[in-house]
Amino acid sequence: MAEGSSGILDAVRQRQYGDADPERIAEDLAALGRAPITPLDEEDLLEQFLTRLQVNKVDLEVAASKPEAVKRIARFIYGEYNSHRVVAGNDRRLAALPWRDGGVLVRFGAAASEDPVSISYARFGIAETGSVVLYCNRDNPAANNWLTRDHIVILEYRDLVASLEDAWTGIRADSDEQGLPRGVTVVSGPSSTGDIVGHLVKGAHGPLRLRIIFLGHIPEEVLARTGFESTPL
Amino acid sequence: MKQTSEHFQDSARAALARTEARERMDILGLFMPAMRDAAVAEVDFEALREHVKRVKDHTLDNLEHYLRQFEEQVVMNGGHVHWARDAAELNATVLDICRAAEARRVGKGKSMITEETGLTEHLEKAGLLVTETDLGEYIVQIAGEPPSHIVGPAFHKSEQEIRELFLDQHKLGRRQLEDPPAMVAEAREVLRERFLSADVGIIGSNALIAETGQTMLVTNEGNGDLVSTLPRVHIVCASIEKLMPRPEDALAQIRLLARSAIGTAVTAYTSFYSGPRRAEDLDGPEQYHVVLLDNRRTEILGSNYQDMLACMRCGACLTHCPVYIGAGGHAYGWVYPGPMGSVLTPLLTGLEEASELPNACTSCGRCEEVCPAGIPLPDLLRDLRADETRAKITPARWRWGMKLHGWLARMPGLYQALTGTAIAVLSRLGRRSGGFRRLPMAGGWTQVRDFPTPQGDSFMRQWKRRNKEAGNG
Amino acid sequence: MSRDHKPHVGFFVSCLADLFRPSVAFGAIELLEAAGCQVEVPEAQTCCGQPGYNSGAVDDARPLAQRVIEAFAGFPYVVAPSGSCAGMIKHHYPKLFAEYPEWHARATDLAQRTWEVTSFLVEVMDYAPTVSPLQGRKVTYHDSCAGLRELGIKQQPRKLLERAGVELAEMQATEVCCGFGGTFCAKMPDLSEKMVDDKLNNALDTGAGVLLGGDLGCLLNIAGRARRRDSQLEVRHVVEVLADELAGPAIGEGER
Repeated sequence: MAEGSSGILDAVRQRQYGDADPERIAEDLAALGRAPITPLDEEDLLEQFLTRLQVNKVDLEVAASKPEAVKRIARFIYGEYNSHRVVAGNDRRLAALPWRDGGVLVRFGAAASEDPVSISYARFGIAETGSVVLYCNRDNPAANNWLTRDHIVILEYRDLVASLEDAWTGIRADSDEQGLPRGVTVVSGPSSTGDIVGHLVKGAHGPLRLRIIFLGHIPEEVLARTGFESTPL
Repeated sequence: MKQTSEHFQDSARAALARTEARERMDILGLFMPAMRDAAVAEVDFEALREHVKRVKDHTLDNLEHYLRQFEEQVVMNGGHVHWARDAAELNATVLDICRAAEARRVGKGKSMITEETGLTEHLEKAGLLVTETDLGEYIVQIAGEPPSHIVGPAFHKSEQEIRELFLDQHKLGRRQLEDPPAMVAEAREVLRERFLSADVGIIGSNALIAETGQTMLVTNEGNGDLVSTLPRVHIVCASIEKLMPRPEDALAQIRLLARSAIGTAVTAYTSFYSGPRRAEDLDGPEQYHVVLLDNRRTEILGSNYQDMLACMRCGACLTHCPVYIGAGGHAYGWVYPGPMGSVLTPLLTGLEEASELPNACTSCGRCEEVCPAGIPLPDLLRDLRADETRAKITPARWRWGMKLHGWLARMPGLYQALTGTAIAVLSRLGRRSGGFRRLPMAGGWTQVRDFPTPQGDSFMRQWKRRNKEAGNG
Repeated sequence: MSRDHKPHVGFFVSCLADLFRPSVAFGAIELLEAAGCQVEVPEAQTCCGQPGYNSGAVDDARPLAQRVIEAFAGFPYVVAPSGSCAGMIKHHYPKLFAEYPEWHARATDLAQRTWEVTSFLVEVMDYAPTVSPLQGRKVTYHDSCAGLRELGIKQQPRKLLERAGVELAEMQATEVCCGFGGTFCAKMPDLSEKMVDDKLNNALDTGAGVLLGGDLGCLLNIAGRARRRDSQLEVRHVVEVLADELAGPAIGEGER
């Protein structure tokens, strides 16, 4: 064997057009610039995000405060499962929520197959695609994203960004500081499949429902325009 | 997988005779393009694909650099990189990893590369229990069939066929399975156990990120993420052209990929994995392997066909191709169907093994129009037909026919005299009927349609006559 | 406009119009003259080379392309009543001579001067045809692939038909291939049959009695299939309608 690559790299070098000068490669790459996308205005951010959530069939609740967020979660799991129990990762932001006051019993750790509801804290929300960015790491075990029937994600208004690239700017900063997490995932809806005669069915292998608890304020008219309703607590 | 591409026409004929399946394909051919068109209208498609194409060209031109960078990063993240020159090497490498981990059960996510190498069969022969977990792949696996579409592997199967398959194969007693949601729910239960018991998870990748060593995975079902998370060992199989320099480049591609593939801005899950579980993590695999496959891609690199390496496997060219919609995916006789398959299959398996495929094309150009990678598919198919002519794979009567035509048409005087006479005869013979039901040497034409009678004398004859008369008068 | 300033057009007949449908060529010349052009038909023309080029016989196509380049040297405009021939000249001739610099330059020059007839009439001449006798009949239009995708021909024939008072009943999937594809229709007749049947069914579903198009290859295919199915659909080239060349039988029809 010529080297670890079984000669594949040698073959590539012989066939490729480029001259393998790393400096030139870096220059060429930089010159390619960013993907051409239409930038979003600050005021369109929320509306775009909500419009996309609607398309992606994501459920949404708005909470003005952290205690309210917990109360809304409590009401949801009690209504759906007649239970107070959820599983959540070791995210400090999750640990700091007033769970007991809101009537939620949290097990901190990785979800097991029997857990019906998991809770994650989004690193970012992306208006362009109606997505939330979640890491797969100690703070948010990957199982919590995919094993339960209901996945609840808390998103703070200040973490909402316009585009996929904007989210990545933040992800790079995080990685530079804490190292690259095992997984970075952009979640844009509940698990779904169209594999049986193109019939779209939710809950293929992962969660049947994705519920975003939005921490912040969304004007009534934006909710109305995007087809959401504000639900009183 | 046994290749049957040379029986393309027989298989297509058989597919056309299955009325119900044919109607389903027709619906697919209307529905998918409508979804795609609506989704693509949200972005500046031309500008985006131009950008992605430039990035991809740059990457392929400097592929060695990016492959080295990727390998370095994967190792730095605690993973292993393996290189496979061909299908056999990939299969052997994966089996070695499974054996070293004393694995019994394998959960597989969707991967065209492992279809290409026949990995599942190889592992099963070695005694491993392999489960395809993408619902479409699972359906064709238990049906014992190959996929018919690169994004929707079971698009060819009817609801009733899938219902009967589940009732027969899942030993769960009497039940109705009245609709697709009921069937999906059953598959969820059956497969959940497989996810939880798998020792090894194997998955493909939509892009390999050189800068970070991440492998990008795009799915809707979440099955790929489960097999990347729950088993002890995580193996990613990808071919060497999947490299992208930076995460941002893969993101730019996503905008085109999801829209082109299924008509949505993004899929439910777009994940970037980068190694085994970290020390403090509560879950995730203990081992992380990336197997990089060549399988003749280094031959395509730097050739006239290099553009084909930009293919992102979205399947848009399939559902937009009227030949694919008529013939169905299985007629192509190997892993990749439709226009992209008609280019890739001859390049990966040899032109002799797939000489029908480049001819399964009317040069209508719809594939190129929708291709998010900007691949000039009709040109590449035409080039392959030229290769066939040069290699004398094209049947002699076609080659000589074209030679004769080319020779004759080079001499306007002779051409016009001969064709003028022939046309005048045909025109007189067919004047009343308007067309011929049969004509010597036009069997392919008259098998399905009449040969319209020429109007009368050729234009050139009439034109010359007219000019002469005008000159005399 | 004085006579001297009439745009000088070299007319490329196309082999199918030459052999099967001279009325298309005569009609096109008539329209070009009515629009104010001075039209010349070089006699040293046969075929653009498309059959060989598309079926892989590139070396047989190249000499034909050279003949066309020579025959049409010097015309400020070259016009053809076919999207696929014009597309061949405009898009594929330069590729054909990629490795022959001198010919490549000549091919590129010709490409820049070449037009498909309906787009030339609309975009260069801004021509308004006289009202057609087809006014009041239900007519549908098939978009031929090469014209549509290589030359962007979509609105031009529709604009001309509208000016001629012809209203179109658009069919479903009008931009989908009819299954002709040059040698494809003879090499793979079963698939071609399926495609032309789809086209025919979509056309008939509009209730139209007439189908028009801009490329004789497609029209011969559709008409041939219509006759085989005993359909009464009248198939004609759009130029025949615009130039009022409707006296003779439609494509594939017997003499009345």
